[in-house]
Amino acid sequence: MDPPLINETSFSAANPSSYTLAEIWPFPPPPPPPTRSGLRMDNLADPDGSLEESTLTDQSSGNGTRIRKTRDFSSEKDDSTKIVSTTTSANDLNDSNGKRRKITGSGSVKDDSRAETEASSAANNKSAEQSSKASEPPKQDYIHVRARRGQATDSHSLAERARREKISERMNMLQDLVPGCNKVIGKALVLDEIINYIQSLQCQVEFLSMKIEAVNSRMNTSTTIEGLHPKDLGAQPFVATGMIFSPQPTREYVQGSQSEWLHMQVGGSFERALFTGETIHRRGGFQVCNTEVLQWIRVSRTDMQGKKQQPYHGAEQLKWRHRNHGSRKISRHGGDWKEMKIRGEKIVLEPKFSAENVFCITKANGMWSFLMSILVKLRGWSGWIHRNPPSPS
Amino acid sequence: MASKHTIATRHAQGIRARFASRFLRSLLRLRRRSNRFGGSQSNDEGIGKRIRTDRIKIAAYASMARAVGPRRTWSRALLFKLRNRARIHGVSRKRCLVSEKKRVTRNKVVVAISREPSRADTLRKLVPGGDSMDTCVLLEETAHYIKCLATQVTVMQSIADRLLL
Repeated sequence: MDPPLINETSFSAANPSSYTLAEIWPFPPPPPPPTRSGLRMDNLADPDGSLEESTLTDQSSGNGTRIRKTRDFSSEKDDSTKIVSTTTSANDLNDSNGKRRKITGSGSVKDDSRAETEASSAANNKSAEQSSKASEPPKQDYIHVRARRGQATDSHSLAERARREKISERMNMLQDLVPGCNKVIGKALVLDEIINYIQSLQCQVEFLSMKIEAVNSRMNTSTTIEGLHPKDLGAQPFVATGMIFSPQPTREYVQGSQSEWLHMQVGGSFERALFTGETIHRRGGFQVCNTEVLQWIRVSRTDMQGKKQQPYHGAEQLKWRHRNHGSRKISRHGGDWKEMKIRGEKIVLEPKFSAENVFCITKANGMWSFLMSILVKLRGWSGWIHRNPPSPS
Repeated sequence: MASKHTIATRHAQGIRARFASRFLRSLLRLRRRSNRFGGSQSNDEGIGKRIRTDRIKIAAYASMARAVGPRRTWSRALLFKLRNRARIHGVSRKRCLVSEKKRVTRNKVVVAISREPSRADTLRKLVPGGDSMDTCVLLEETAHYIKCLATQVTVMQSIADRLLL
């Protein structure tokens, strides 16, 4: 953990008047170490991992100095417990916390001196260790880190290795959560995907609130909302029907008539875009996070007079041009470049559109966030976002 | 494994139902309020629309955070932010200026230490309350936040679809 560990508890202590105690602190005060096993059992019982992290962070902030004192010292790790710790990933922070509390020995610990470390550790931890040895392995509240041959065995590098393992476990967890993230290799790219996904979800929330607002203000009778029951909404399947992309022939992407495509102007056509959004919604817009595709963009091409033109085909580079700023590159991924122009108030995106090129823009990492930020900044427009890819038949 | 999965889905469904009921309630409240003040807002349509959109968005986030409850760091931070938003708006600009100065100095210190913002910092900005987390906690909170956001999006989508019908 990084040293400046500031939590909500610390700043609720700073101004306690702003919180009711029950809201900010739903848990009993951090229990003394002998009772921590019960907490651990609770955590094991909750596989979703929803409860334990907050308690743990709170505890670690409460006992921050002590942990910081003891965290530098190394620990050991059996291979069996390593497997266990990877399987119970939600429990991992707990384990590490316990580990930090447990180890009070100093200096580098090797495999032979393990018994000594246990002897020097606190008695309750020792008993916990013995009981966990006797019974199931997942009840252990710390990780043994064993240095392999050739690895550094001093305390700092062992602790760092344990930390890296934890981080990689969480990255794996996140990779399962974010769609299309499994195929991405590399921590930075995975983080990029995660960031893009979160941004797309937030933009989606914004767009949906806009939509709800439009509907809400259009209807004067307040019967409809009351007619909705949250039970019905809760019972709906996860993929809402509106999100499902109805497959269209690819020709439509190639040449399709520009009538209801995103002909976006800053001022006026927002209404139109919103209300024709139902048809657009099923056809185009942004494609978020399926396997390969991050997004695909379909925007009408307009010249300066506002006359519609054929979609742009031969773009080799993805640039964005502003009338004032000239042109510059935004992003590149895998050699796919597209072009995007901003002319005055009109945003014109000109992606290559053919059966295979629909997906090209999708690979442009960072493009998503860039585009969304422009659109949102200009007038809160956030696009149409889909779960499922268009089938390029 | 199967039991784990069912428990997890039940948990998500509970959050979804709670979020949906809260969000619908706040929508009703918003609508009543807009009906009450309908005449005054009609003169400036664009601004009124933006304000209403922002309100709905804030209501969505707030009801999500309330549905999750104070167990999570991100929901606590979100609730804190939403709760103090009114106060910050209401009190004065003095505080804002002070915080601006502080932020400036802090940024200078950070710059002096070095390093341009990494991807984890970008993630910190996205996840509410992420400034005060270390990387492990940040990743866990991100996972939960993503789940909740996806739930929120589906619920809002279905509400919008129902309203349109």
